[in-house]
Amino acid sequence: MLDGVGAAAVGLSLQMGLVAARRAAAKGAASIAIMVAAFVAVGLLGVSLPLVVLVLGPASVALAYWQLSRA
Amino acid sequence: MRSTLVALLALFVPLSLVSVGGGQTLVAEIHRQVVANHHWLTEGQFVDAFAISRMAPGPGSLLVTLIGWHVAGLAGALVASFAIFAPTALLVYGLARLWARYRGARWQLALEAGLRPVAAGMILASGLVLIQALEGGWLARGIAVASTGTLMVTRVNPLLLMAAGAVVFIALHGVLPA
Repeated sequence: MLDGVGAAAVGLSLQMGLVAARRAAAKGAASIAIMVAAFVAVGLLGVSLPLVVLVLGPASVALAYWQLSRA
Repeated sequence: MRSTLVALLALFVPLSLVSVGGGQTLVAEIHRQVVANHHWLTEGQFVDAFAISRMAPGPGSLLVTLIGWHVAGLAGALVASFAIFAPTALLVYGLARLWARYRGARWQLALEAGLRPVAAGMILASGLVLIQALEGGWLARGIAVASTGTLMVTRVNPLLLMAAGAVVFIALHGVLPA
């Protein structure tokens, strides 16, 4: 029975991911590239998550800062 | 026993500090560490723990409590919960005042906007890892996809959805080939 519950619960996570992805995608190509990089690194390559956050996080924030200062 | 508790701390304290965008961002990494690296849980046990953490009231970090419990009983549950909760809480406590003082500052907006796509990619990775971890074959994957679709177009109560998942699984399990 828990298999069915688990399957539906996985849907909760997938839906949350898709909503977050849609929002991020609306912010343009750079945002999409960072999202894809995080997804590939964590989900496909199994890179350590703290490492991914420490590398992609500052890069993404710096990019956002630059974009904000141009606007 | 003590080394297991230390291992729980060593795993969850760093994750607590990088949980940008909530606990769902961490599920892929927790799965990798707990199932593949430490062999503390099997794939099936992990999905069960995830399901229970989403069914029960309270924070999603219950997943971590359940893992701690499974690995080292009550002490494990307490240590794991503390490890995932306390560092974030301290960080947020420290940042809250700074955040309020510089509300609307450019660095603040950049921090929010910049971390969002990173978190989105991490949550998507969690979804991928979970769907791979599912036991119950294509039927379970089908239910996961149907559940995702239902959530995208309606505001169905998650508990109701999970109950429906269980009913559909039981009803079709014997009928469909695995």
